[in-house]
Amino acid sequence: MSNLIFEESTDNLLQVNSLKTYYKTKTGFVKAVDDVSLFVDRAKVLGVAGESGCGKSTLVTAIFRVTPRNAQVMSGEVKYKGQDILNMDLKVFRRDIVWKEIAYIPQASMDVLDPVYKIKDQMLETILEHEDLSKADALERIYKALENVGVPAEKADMFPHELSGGQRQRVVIAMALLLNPSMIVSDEATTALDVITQAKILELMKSLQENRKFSMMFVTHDLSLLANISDSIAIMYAGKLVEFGDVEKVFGNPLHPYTQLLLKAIPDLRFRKQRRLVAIPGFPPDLENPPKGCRFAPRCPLAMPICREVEPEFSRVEGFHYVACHAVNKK
Amino acid sequence: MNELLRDLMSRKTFIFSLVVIGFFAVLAVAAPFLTPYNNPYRVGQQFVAAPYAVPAWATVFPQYKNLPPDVRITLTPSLAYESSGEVSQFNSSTLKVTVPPGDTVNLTFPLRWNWSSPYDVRLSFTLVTPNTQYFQVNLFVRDFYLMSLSPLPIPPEVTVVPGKPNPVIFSTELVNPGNSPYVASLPVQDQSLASLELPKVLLPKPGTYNVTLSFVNTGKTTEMFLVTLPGYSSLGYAYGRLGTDDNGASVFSEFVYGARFDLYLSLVASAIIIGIGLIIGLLAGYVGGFTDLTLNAFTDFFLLIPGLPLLIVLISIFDITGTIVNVNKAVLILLIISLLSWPGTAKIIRGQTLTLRNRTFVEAARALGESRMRILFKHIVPNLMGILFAQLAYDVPGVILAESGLDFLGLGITEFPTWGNMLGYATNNVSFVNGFAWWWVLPPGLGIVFISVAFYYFGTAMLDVLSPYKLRGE
Amino acid sequence: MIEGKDLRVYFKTRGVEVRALDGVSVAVKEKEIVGVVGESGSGKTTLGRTLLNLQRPVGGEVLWNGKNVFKLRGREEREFRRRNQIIYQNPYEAIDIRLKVYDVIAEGIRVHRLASNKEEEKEMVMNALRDVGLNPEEEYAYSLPNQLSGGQLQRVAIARALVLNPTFIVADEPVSMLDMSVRAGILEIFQRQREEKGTEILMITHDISTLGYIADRIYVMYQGKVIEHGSADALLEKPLHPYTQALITAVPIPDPSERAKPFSVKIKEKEEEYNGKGCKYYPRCPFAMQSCREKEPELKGVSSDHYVACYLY
Repeated sequence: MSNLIFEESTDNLLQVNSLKTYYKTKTGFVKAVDDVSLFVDRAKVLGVAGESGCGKSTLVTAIFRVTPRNAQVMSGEVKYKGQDILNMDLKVFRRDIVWKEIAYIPQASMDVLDPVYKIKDQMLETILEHEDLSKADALERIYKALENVGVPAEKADMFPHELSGGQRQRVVIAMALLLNPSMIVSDEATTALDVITQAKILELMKSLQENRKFSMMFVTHDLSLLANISDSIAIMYAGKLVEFGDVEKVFGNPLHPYTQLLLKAIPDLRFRKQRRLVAIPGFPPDLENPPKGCRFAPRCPLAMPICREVEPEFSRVEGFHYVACHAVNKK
Repeated sequence: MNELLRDLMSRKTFIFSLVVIGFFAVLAVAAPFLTPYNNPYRVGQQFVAAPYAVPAWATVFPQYKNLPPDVRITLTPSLAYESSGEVSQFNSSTLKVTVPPGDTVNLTFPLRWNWSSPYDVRLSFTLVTPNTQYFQVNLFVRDFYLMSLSPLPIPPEVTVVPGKPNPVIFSTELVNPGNSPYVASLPVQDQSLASLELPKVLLPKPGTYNVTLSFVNTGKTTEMFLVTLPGYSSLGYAYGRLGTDDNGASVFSEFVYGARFDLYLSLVASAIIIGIGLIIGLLAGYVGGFTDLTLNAFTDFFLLIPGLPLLIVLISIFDITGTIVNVNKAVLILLIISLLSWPGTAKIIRGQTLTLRNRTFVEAARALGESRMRILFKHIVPNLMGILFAQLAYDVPGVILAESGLDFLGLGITEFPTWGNMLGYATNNVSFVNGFAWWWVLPPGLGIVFISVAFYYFGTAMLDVLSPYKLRGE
Repeated sequence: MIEGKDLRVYFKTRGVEVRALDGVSVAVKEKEIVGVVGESGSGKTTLGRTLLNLQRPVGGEVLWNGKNVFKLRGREEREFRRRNQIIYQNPYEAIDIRLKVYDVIAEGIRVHRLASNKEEEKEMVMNALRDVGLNPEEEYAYSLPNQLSGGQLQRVAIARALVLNPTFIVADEPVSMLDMSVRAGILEIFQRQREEKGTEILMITHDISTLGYIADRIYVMYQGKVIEHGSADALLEKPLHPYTQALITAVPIPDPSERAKPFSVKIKEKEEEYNGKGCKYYPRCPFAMQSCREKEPELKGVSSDHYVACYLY
């Protein structure tokens, strides 16, 4: 898909255009992110969902340019506030963009905190590396940030292992907000937490987002989380973007068969009497040799002959709702 | 299995280790076929060439260009005498010399010499003397009056029995004022150095030199002498594949037999170390509790013993009492090294066993109903294979180094070659100053280094390939 | 029928005693799927392992069809092991990944000598692979665990247990590490075992919504104690304990129309310090009363199949 222009983007902050990031292996290329385009508007939340191997983590690490050594950006671009950040000088990128403009909460955030340094020392390092602040001012900002996420100020003088999992996660969120970035990207931020803590953290992130008005790209495998905090949703499968649109449209009227099945696979307690759990038969494809045509075709209940030959076009269906599916495009 | 092989073969270090170990193994096994000298430290196997002879192939280097090899030839007379009636062919190897009374016949054998001076000069022939008392045979090389043979010798003359075949040997090693006129003519202070200097005097540089036998008939009748074609031999300064040591023994033989011993010792010792270490480590780690406690204490006791000092003391004691207890010294060293080295292996295996014991799949096996014995042999031990091989491969160089260290100090094996004592003797003779006798020092030194590195790579490769759970923390 | 009575499991780490199980009683009857839900540290995993005698308690007993499990010896002990199996959360850890899939599954057969010859063994292994939905069996049987995905390998782990024809299976977070789209497939295997063979299943999880779909009865654990249990219908319709209520409301609902409402998880904003003698939950409980801080509440029956340990009732 060549230079898709998203009309729905009103105040574009981050734009990904036809990004292709492959991993080089001894035998070929693993097409981890294959021609993905999406956008995030200012002060809006984009939820990116997909299961293991769909490429969402690669997408995130590609944006932050922290992909492993054998990853290559084959084509496409990522623009932040109109600037090309993939080809920007790396030092400038790290100094001006990372943490100051876009903050990153990676997977296993709780392990991101260095166990041999106190909380406040780690937060100090983050601030002082990017801003010219006096230590006193920086500390004040740190205490305020901790207060904002509901962590008692005295915890700043402690070591990470002295805090609970939930508190550590809050600290990491506070760290991300220290420099007032315009955008936060979080990758499976709540995966390792128990469900009650997860709910509280999501509540916190949502209120912070509404108050401070930063954009967010929330990446997870748990689709139900996204319903509650996203404005728009992107569904990824096997390196491809299969559905993208306004959250109410995607949840209310899921078009791609994968999205539909994924939603049915969620054990929704409200419908435990009426429904049965649904599993999608088969397994995700090998990304080094993906099947010809639509990558979901082998498992798709609606698969037609054309699906196994031609990759479906990513096209708009109605308003802010895009889908890549032959069955849908036919109508 | 094929996967394992493919994985192993893809590692360059593993190929390297196979090549090196294979090379030395072949050397060690084929030793009897590669050299006839199985213990060059024995006197009978020394002086195969001059001491400190360079390897034969080293003569390509300019500084070694003219060094002579061992030479052994039979001299033939110059043709001029074929025609004179005085000398005739008696048989294929013997000449007949007829000397008129009161006359002298000179028989000259040209010696074509292409090198610088040899270590010694040796001439030998058999002389059948006439049955009288009135003759003398003199040996000259160039113009030097080397030997005088007579039935009634007055020193420096040498006795020959009339009428009989007399084997005659002239050797610069054996010259003294009493058996060589030339030496007797030297000033007294030079006489003791004569055997060293004589070769340089006789054959100073490439050229053709005459060896002359002078037959003197002091009697009244014509007499006949029979003389075999003289054999010339000398020990040279260029010899063999790796030259010679300070006793003129073949370094290559020492190297090859040293390899044989070192490999044999280290493999057997490693097997013992692994055997003991495995049993103790496995028991301690798997059974745990009191067994672990006692075995640990036992292991620690051995671990804390200072290895090398103890080894030196023990060896010395056994050396002194060695004649009482007739134990093979090599076996003794093997046992002592093994006994002092197993604790390290035991600790590693214990640690690994503990880790494995706590893994989920071991509990899962228990849940399946497996007996503890079965779990031990079907799950724990197979997962130890990687580290076992690695230990084996690390222990081999360890043993070689320990043993070589002992030998180097002269406290280990001295009776037959090992790489360690080769280095020891070489050091004693200050042989690596200015690259002198590099052929004696480098092979065992490099041998130890290469074998150690090769086994290290081997062990690391086996460890990586046989351990599904990454043990090296990568 | 397997029953745990007043089980106590205490661990001592660095001088601190951790009460993983503090007087827990659980019963699983034939053809039942019992769910145990709780967060990490609740003791749910310890409960599963104790019921199978993989963990010895300091107090309490486990009865298997009336017999004391910890006193079994010899043939009876082996029979117990055969009939009571466990599935772990991480299949890559629970299986010796050196072995081929065939040998992983055949291990149980060999240990209990269930097959008299190689052909019989092979048939049992292939049947088990088919039962867990791994087709074509031949291909899977001779592959290595490293070549399989998480979902496939978990099925292998289940096949390993099923081949022994167990009457009771403890499933410890069997789908937590798997993708959503794959979970139902695994859970279906358990359901089918229950339907066709009458197998009793103890499903341990931190996700109560899964239990809503497959459990008959649910136990809710918190810090080593059962704080509520009952039939799934009763408990989910009307959760009594404040913790259970919090657990249920915390589950995200995949419906964006609910977005406008804030999360209604009822939990105290600021946690109190636990004084060591009251109800374990009062530090976070929004309804904590004085009596809660004084003594731990006992499980009380509120209706025929609904019990709760809370002074509110």
